[in-house]
Amino acid sequence: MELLNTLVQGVLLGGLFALYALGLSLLFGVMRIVNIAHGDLIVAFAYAGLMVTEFLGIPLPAAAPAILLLAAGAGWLLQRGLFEFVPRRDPLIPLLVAFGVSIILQNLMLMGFGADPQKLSLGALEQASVEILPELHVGVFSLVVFALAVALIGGLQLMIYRTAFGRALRAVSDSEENAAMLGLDTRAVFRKAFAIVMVTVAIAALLMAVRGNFDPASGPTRLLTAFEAIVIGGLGSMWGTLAGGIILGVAQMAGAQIDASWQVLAGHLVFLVLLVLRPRGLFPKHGG
Amino acid sequence: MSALLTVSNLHLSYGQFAALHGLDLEIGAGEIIAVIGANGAGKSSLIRGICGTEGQGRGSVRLDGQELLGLAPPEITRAGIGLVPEGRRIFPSLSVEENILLGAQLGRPHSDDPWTLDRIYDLFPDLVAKRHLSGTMLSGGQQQMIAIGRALMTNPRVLLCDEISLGLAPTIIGRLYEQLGRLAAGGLAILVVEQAMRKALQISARYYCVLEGRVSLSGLSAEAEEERVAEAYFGR
Repeated sequence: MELLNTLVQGVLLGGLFALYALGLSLLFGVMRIVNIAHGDLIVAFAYAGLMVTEFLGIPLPAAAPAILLLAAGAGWLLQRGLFEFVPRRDPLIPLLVAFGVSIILQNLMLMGFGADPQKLSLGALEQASVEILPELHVGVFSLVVFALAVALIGGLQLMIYRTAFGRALRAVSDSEENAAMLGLDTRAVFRKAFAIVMVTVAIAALLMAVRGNFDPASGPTRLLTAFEAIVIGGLGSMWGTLAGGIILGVAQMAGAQIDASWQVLAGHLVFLVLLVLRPRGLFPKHGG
Repeated sequence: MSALLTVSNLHLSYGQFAALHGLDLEIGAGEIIAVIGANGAGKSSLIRGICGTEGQGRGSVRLDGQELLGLAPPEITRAGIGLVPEGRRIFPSLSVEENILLGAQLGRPHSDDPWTLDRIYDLFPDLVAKRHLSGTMLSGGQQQMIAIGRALMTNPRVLLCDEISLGLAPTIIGRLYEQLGRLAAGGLAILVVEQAMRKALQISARYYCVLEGRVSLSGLSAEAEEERVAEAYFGR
């Protein structure tokens, strides 16, 4: 029973890890930007959630739509006001710009909110649990997080493979130059894409902030987890990213069973082993 | 005949390098014209100048009175310029059908007689059975059909075809040009850029020979004397 419990908790935690990773994966897939600031953007929106709920006193479920809308606007602005001016011929340049954004965000958050760990509260739902099997209790919130991860991946897949905007995204991802030559407004595609990425960031941020503590320096750890989930799953495959997140989640939960200090380390170790065995990930987009 | 597309005194440069030095040409509705010339003569630069994709242009490119020079490529596509680019530029992540549909997203939204997927498939029945395959899995000739279909879906008034015969078998080239002839008969203005001089003269009503960024010779294709055209082509 203990084993099954660990497994289930790990799988559910994997949903959160996949949520961390979705925006990072999408941004790299479409724009070839390795967004080093991804984790810090997640933490920044956790603080946005904190401000709205703590200082304005609006309960999180009611505030969430506005925060997601704000995130979409912030994404559009980040592209329009910053990354649009960054040459992407050399992938190192946007990477360095994102690194700068990361440092700026961390320091702004430290100035604004101090170094104390914070947490969002969701009231009774946080503690609620259901018995899915005899003696196997699962937190309702963990289930909600996992369901949201699956729904978001499904939604993004539909968007990418079933809509006109998704066609444009894939065309730009194949070749920005060719798409532009044919008269596709690639700048508009990038702005929308960044807006969508930031919505996923905000969703991940709010759920993370309810699940546990965060502080201004939490970003890089989230970024690392996101990277690991993407690499384990195989670049470009969102369901693979979910699988990667689940593997990391299970590894962490199993590690925590040995000793609390082993939780994070176990995740990294499993990542390293898989990286050696399957360097292209479990579900590489293109075979061979 | 009043021209639909008029290019006059078009200069195009890439930084220090000037590729076009005052090029003039015009196309009327329903007309196929051929632009022939050797490698580096300025044929591709002419296409880029019209589409606004690269380089700094000077002069004038008018489509039915509307100045295109200075507009961004998306606006030029929406104005009614459809491009079949050199090398076809099919997107591997998109299926045949999605490649074609992409055109519909880029072009003129309001057209009297809009192109539809069905009409493209009527034009190129070979594509129907393969419509769900990745666009780049098809043969070169079929990829060229996708590229033409994609350009037609933008509901163009002028179709620019850049080296569509490159690397294709003669029978396929013949079939593609046969379809272009039909499209022109329906009123579409078609500009064909070709290195293959004879083929180009065969299928066009008029020709422009481009040399060193200028028109070195032009006239009716039927009356073209091969020797003089070759001279204008190679610049001897």
